Amino acid sequence: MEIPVKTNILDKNAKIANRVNRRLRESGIVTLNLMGSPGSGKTSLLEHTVAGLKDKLKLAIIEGDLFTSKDADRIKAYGVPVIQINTSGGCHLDASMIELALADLELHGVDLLIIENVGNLVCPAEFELGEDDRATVFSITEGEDKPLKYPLIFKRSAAVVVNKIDLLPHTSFNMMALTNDINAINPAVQIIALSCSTGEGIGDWLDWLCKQVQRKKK
Amino acid sequence: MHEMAIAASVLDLVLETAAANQANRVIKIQLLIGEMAGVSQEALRFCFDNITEGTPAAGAVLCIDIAPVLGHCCECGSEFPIPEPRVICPTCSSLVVDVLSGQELRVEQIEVED
Repeated sequence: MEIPVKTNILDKNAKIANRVNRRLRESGIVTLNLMGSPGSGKTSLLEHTVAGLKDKLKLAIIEGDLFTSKDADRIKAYGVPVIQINTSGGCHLDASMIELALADLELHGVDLLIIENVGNLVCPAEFELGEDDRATVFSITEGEDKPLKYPLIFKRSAAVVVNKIDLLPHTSFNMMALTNDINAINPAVQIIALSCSTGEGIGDWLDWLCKQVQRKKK
Repeated sequence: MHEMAIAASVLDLVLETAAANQANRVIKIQLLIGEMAGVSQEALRFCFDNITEGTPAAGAVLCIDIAPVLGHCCECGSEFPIPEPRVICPTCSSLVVDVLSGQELRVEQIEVED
């Protein structure tokens, strides 16, 4: 007997993600899913973010890694609510992990929740977490050919942060090729070039975040 | 590897559907996977074979149709296949293109025995 199903494979995850998103929006919280390769600078960017926005927005952070609480420990030093999810081998976060984590996170009065996903340019692109927006952190040391090799994560991001621009003089990185390829995959994306080491461009990232929060809260 | 999570989601959906129709065994599963969905067929089959052992879907044939990546240009209205990640209209070179297909991840139907 043949039975039609015609259901998205990730339907269950999508339903939980919608539930998470509704719950966060009802509490007035805007949520960003921050993705990127291991070592691209996601946690360093978050350190600049919590320091730079402390007088403007109340933040909470969820950290995702296979093992250790190293990243959550770094953020804890800034005095914002943070929780570490360890997947123990899983290569991405999913909506059910976020739903569980929210139960242990102090969210009263929070404006912006940033979820730092597991370092990975492939799998996080597939799994919604209940976020309002996604941003991908990409470092110039990864090479300008990566967007074409890993298009889905760039296609599904509202912003791409191009980190480590302080190292440009020491590499043969082609910034024009990178921006052309990213724009061809996703014409609407905001590309923000910066350096977490020197602080150059961090203001542009903070401005973009604040504008996103303002827009979403309306 | 995320194909394991996808295989697990396929199995959940398939077993729920079988149970809802009082079927004891699943013999065939038809999937539709988009070319741009970022899923390796080989990895998915490997994971699926592993996790269905001991379940009513053990030994089920996994059939995978691949949906091509098709675009529609919002500027000139052309529809065209998209052979690479760069989405550019071949008629007018516009970047403003809607992707009509190629990102699907769906269980289309299952075949069961009572």
